[in-house]
Amino acid sequence: MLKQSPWIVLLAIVWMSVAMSPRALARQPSEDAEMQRLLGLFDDLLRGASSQGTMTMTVKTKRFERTLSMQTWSKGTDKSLVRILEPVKEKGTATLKVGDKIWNYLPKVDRTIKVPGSMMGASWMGSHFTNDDLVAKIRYSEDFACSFDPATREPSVKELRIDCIPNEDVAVVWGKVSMLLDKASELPTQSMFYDDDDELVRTMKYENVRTMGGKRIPTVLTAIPAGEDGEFTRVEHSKLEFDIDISDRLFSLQSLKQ
Amino acid sequence: MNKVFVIAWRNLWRTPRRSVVTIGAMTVAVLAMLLYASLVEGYVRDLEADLVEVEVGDLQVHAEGYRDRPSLYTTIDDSDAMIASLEGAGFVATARLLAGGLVAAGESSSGALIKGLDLETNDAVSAIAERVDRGEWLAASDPHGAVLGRGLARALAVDVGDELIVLGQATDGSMANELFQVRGILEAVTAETDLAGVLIADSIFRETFALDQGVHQVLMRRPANLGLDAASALAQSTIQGHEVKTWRELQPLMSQMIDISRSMIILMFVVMYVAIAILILNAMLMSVFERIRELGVMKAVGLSPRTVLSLVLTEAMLQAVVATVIALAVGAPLLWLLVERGIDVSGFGDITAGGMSIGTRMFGAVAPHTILGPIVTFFVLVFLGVLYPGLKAARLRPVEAMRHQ
Amino acid sequence: MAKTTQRAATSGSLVSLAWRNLWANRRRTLITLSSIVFGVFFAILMTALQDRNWADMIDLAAKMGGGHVTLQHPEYQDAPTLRHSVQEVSELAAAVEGAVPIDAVRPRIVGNLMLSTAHESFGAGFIAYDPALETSETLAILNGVAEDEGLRPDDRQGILLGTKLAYNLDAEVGDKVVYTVTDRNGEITSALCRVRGLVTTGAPSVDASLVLLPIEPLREVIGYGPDEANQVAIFLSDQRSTERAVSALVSALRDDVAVLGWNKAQPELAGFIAAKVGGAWVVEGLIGILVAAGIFNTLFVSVMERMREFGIMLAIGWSPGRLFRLVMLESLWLGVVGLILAGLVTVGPYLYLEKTGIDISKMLTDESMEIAGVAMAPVLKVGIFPMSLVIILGAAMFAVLASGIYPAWRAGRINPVETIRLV
Repeated sequence: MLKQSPWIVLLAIVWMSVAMSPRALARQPSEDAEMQRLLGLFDDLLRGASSQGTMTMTVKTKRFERTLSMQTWSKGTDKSLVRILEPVKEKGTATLKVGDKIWNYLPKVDRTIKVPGSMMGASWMGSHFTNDDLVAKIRYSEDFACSFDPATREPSVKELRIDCIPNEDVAVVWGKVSMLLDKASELPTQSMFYDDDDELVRTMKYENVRTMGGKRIPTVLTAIPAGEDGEFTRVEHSKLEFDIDISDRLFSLQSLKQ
Repeated sequence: MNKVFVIAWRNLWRTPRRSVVTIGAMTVAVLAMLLYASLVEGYVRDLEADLVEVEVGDLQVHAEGYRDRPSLYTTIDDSDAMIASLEGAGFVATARLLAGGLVAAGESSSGALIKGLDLETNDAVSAIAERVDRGEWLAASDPHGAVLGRGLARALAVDVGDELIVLGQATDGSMANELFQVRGILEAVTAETDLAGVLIADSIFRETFALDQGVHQVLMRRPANLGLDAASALAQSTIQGHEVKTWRELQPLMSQMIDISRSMIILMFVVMYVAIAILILNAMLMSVFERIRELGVMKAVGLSPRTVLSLVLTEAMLQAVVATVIALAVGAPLLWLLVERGIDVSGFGDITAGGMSIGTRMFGAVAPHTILGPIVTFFVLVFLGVLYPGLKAARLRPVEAMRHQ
Repeated sequence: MAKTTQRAATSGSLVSLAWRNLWANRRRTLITLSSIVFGVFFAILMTALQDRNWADMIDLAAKMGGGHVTLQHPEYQDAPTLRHSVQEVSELAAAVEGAVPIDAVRPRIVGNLMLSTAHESFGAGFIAYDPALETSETLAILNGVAEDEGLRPDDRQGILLGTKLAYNLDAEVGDKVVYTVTDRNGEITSALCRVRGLVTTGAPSVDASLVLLPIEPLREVIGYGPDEANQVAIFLSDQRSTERAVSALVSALRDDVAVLGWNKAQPELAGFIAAKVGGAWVVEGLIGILVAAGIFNTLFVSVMERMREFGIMLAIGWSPGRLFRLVMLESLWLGVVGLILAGLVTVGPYLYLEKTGIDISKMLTDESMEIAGVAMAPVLKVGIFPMSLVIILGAAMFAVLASGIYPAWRAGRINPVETIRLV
């Protein structure tokens, strides 16, 4: 099972919208300060904003390929709700996340099940993400020690590479996370997740930058597990609104059933 | 010879007290052998029965790689043809569907191993249907009925009639979810099934997990005339391209434990039979030497050594027959009790050991060899026991015998 | 014969008469003695094997689990979550020490967690202990940890993984793993660890699903106070006093802790042992009956054979009671000699088995033996509790004497006139 640290898939858009505002990388007097600024932007994507939108998730594995269309809501970093619209068979299936707890609502049996600790490692909706991926919360600016790849600092290189090593006491399974940022847009294009032995485990790609909800963001995210030929999970956003008023009541077990 | 027989019979009752003592000792010996053989049979049968008859079967077939990394997708696709050819070769077989998942009831949930059973063929292969403690076994008429392991039912705090949700990942990547009703709760079986087993009908399993075809496991019993290894070889040649394993390979720990139990039983058997042999020898020596004077008189009146020996032997055999008849008469109700009620040897409930449940009540089992074996052994022991004193008596010189105390 | 009787009558020593009578028919006596010796020999060795192995297994189970006696939250048994904890453990430990003779008291936290590496995640059970306090003397699982591995008291990130679990997780010594656990408030929380060593117990179910953690850092992660645990393991000086210790502790300790003997905490093991012990008693009982039947047989025949002799003795004025005592004394001698011989025969094999034992590992193939989660020692040794020995010897003596009662009684009831006429 793949691991994705921050709440990327479902809140990717919030993440993008705040952190990667279309602004050229300004020259900073200090490398450290610049790093902190970039990472801060990165991390602050996760907080404050609210969003509402629709997206399509395509999962391709050796065994099956499936496409789900879903409606999403989020508020801050720790409240979100996803409800499946299609296919008809799964319509109404919903996942609620509040803090580090996850509930699934299953319309077929009309029951809400809290995901127990033992199932946190299981796949979410058949994708390459686990339930644990949904709740993990880390801040690159605080939890990681990051450095620029000097070679990519050259003006002739279009993408900046940042290598981040988690601090010793942070509960992160990765040995290293590297990201590629497009210098022109300051938007990420790719991030790579490595294990303890510096072996690539998963790649995330950020593509198809468009203006959505008033912001320029990559609207297609693809998670690719290493060593699993042809497998991926792709999330495409078709509609997105930001900073709208969403009642806290939406993120409750009552509204999970709709 | 006939005359010898008549004399022997009369001799027996000329000194009834002595005969009664000898026959009594013999009866105790036969009875002990009968009861012990039945207990041993019951014990060994129980050990294997729990494992083989109820859950594991003699042999199991899995798709190559399934046991290494169990997956819903690793299936045997030609199971119908495979079962047909296995049955052609004398096996009885049934297909099983397996999936890992979560079961939830009320606020509780627990990891589970969900098994889809072919209800038509299951009972011919597995006796698990008889191990329902509360409620009832699965029925085709009740597709949403589920039978649970006892430990799992306890963990979920559910009883017969309660509802249960089974969750998992279906083959199409969707979230498998289905509502069931607890139809039955099993007795103590293997730890795995006890703590995690959810048994349902194969049709609803396929629906729940979107599994159109293929099975994960084929469970079978071997033809009665084949040993385990021979049956394994036969199965392997009948079905190619899949992994065939015997219950001993599937449950190496239990297999060892049964082997160790067996060797302990053999050791016990030896000890037991030594005790019995001492008793019989004792009785025979007593019954001959105590009337050596009498035998001396017979020699003195002209009986040949041969006749004396056959007289002594015949007497012993007659006593043995009487003892056997009494032992069988007394033993029958005791054996019945042993088979039906068993002996509670611990005062505890059912327990599991190394993944297999072991009843703490010792039950006997009766088979032709548990009756005939001890009786034949008994006669051999009596014969051997009486041979030495008999020969001694036959060779006795009358004068010596008269002086003999 | 007459001479014997006369001498006995004059000396008045029934005891020495009985002794001589015993050897008047040497063959018969030897046969009887052999069955006594055999029965006692077998009973002692078998019981010694049981006593030693079950005692070892109970001690091992106590070290593998929660001690001979476990203190825990009263609701823990029904709902084993981290919420049901025991407060003020050190105060409790002091109270325990004052109440029963103990070897050790060890606070622990046990529960379930999920372990993740970059590659895999698996559920596992954990035992959190104080590395400064515990060794394999109280936590047997530590036997399965290599010498240079293990948790150090100052190491806040250490974790020990079962060998098979580490393999499944694709983790090696030095690698990082993250554990996720539901804390005392029901919140899901995570922490990072470094694999400091692997645990190989030989019990496959343990090696695939157990991790060991240092207790202090875990307390912080799951929101426990510095003197809080959810299991207090008590190790008694002698496991046989478990029942007594439990009742002593129930009355000595606070009401908010439950006191649990190992037999209640591990009913499977207790049941297994009870079943094995019970099964062995059934066999020993059967053999006892056989031996007794043999003794009865000889004694009875010997009385019948000596009817004439007894008739004469009655005729010259012996009372039936005196005859009864004579025959009973013969049984007594038989018993005494039998037990002494049995002792002589048994002592050699017993000492050998006590010191060297029987290696049953050849009977095992590649995997190790496990009963209800407790790995079995591959060498069977013996060691008998003095109490068991007393019971066996007492039972043997009782069997011998009981077998003698009827023949002795018969001896006194002989009609002198009839028997003397008898050839």
